[in-house]
Amino acid sequence: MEPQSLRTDDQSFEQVLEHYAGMVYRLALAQVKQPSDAEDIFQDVFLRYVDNRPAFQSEEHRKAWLIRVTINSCKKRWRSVCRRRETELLQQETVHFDAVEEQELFDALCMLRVPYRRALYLFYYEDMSIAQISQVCRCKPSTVRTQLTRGRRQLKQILQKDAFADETDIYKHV
Amino acid sequence: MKPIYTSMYDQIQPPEILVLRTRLRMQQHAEQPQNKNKWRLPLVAALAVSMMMVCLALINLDGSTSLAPLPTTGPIAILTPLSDDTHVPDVQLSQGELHFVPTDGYIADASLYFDAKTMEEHVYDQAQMVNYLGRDFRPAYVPEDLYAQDGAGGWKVVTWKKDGTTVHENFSVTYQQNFSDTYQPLRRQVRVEAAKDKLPTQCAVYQADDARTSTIQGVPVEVTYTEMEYGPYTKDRQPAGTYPIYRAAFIYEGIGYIVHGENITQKEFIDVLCSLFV
Repeated sequence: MEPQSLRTDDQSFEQVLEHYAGMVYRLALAQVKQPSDAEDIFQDVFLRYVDNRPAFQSEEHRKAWLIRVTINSCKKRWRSVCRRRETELLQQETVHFDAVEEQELFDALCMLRVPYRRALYLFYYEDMSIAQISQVCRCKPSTVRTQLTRGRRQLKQILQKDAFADETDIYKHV
Repeated sequence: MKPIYTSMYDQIQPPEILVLRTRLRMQQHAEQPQNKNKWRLPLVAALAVSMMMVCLALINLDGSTSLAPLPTTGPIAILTPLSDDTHVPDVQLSQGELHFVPTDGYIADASLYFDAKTMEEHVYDQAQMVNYLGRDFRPAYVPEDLYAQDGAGGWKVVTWKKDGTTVHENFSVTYQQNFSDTYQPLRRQVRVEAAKDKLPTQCAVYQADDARTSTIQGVPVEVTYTEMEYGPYTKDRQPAGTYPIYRAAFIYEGIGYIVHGENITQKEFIDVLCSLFV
């Protein structure tokens, strides 16, 4: 998609939606974990895009804006009292994958704290550099580096623990 | 790990019905006139008139201008634009700058405990507190919906019984929306603690990833920001959500302060903090 075709005007809204739908949805899901919440945030982000009609200097600028608004929407949702009540009432939904390893990895990712999960998602899924993540998350690069290190370490611990539990189950059956 | 990530990346897609519904709503919003545009012209005109009136007020009858000098002390203005739903790590003030260092939370400090055999607890009333500290340590500003806990209990100072040496000193006042013993993680509150000539001792220590010192009126201030998890937790240890905690520690004119804000906006926290310097 050509950068020029993504200018912020009425004709390009659909193209922006088509181009960034996956990114916004995955980023929202990586933070709030529940698909229904991610869908609400997804709509909120793109409607704010239409309402604000921001002007961008580059495609990277547009991407950073959408990431920033998605992160803010997730935070806002967590802080609302309504959200807390819903969480208490609703059962946890989840995303299902075909492969067992994928499901295990996603479940393990969901067990991490939000800042770690967000940093890992942006680094691995969106292929963003530490400098870029620090810009959209508005924190120092050293903080992002720490979040990535701690996130990877905790992820490793969770996956190793799960693997050990599986082996124990096998021995029990034997 | 990378192939799995790539595979997952491909699998997680927004539902088609969601994209379709969003597209329709975007079209509806795009067709509506932008509300902010209709205010632009009157706003510019109002600003111009306001500027003109200010200039006229400053010009004397003889035509010379008398610009009043900017106050060197007084209310501290926040120069960085802030909104209620976002957090900004670096904030510029008219008399300083704040760098909010992110922290993961706090750890307990077991070195502080009350030994009933060797310590005694003193309770100060307001007059004694002001006499001891040299001035009232309470902030000049707190958000309107917060009010102070009944101060009938006074302020406490714990001292050694033998020689009277102060080992723990913690004058504190808490402002909350409501006071109860029930667990309310999303309750808005501000707590200000003070001690004479040093920082108040606390039973918890915040762990910061890095340390950048902020300043207000040239006074070094340590400011941190934490996204604190709250329960109930699910079986797989997932919290119900997070809430913001802002914290500042500094010594100003002979009093050590710790300002602690939960579930308040960044602007509200800075306003409380700056009101201690006025």
